[in-house]
Amino acid sequence: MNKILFLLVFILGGCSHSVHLVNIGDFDQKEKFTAGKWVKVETEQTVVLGFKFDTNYVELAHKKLIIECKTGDIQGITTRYSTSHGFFHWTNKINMQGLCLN
Amino acid sequence: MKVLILISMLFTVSCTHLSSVSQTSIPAKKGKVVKAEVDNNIFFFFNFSNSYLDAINEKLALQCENGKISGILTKHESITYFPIIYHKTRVTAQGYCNE
Amino acid sequence: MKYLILLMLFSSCAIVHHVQVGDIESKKNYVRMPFEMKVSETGVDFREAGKLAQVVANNQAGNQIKQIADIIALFQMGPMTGNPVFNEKYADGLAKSIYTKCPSGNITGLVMIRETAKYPIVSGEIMKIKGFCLQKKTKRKNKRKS
Repeated sequence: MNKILFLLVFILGGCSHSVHLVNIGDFDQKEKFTAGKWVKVETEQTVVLGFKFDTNYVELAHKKLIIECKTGDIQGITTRYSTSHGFFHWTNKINMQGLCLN
Repeated sequence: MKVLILISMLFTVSCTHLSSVSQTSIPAKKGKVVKAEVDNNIFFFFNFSNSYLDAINEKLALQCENGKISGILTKHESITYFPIIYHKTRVTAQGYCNE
Repeated sequence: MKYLILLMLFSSCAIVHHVQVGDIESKKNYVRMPFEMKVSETGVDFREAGKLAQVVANNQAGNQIKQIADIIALFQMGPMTGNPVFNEKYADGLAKSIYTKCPSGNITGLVMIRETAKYPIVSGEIMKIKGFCLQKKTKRKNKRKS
């Protein structure tokens, strides 16, 4: 019984996430979806016991997305803010993906 | 035990939590970066008005009077300066001004 | 107490966490055709499961289940919106799948809603997107009745 309980804890305990919000930016109607390519970046911040003093990973995601599409417009940017849970620590994540139109 | 609680409370001073984030379409031609920020001080969790948010639009627009601001990254954060007693909510918007 | 549990089993709740509204445009000779897409993932509240099991099961089993639920809660620390899910990428394909609803790409009035449909122990963590697809007006042939 105890072995089953132990197994259950490890199977059910790990790898849970919470998606807080997903935002979608607007699309410019002059260009079609097929004209561009999708670019994607993800940044994260590990927080231990709730101690975190900045949210700079958001600006970092923004800069990385621009690097992925330096010379084009980036439209329809989907921003996902989520947290991956862990044992006395968690990881906040920002995932940005958009349509790069040159 | 009391000392431990006090020390852990001190560690939470200026702890920042991200409430929401959004990003609008980023243009190919990026002009100068414009940034605006508004904040609200909250004592003992009492907040009676959110009208501080009304100013952010105008603050941003004033920095780009003859152009278009796009690629706006909006961030809403909560900062704990002193647990329970003093918090701050801050909204930051930064974008590119193309004139 | 048992009637209370039965009542809980039939209860549900709809919670809105976040709403975003985008630009809305209208064009001459174009009609706004609404579309809607929804993705969801099952969230599980282990703490609620533990409490319910403690009430329903006998003392020893109920306490053991509560202990497991408490240990699992230690592995799930962090900010939560709704109940925790086991796949965070379930909404990643939403923007790309808009194209299936509006192949022309003339999209406007996008509304994004993050909501939870809460039931006992489990919940549906829903991402809903609504919008308009601008389509050209078709000319009507006027039929005169003789």
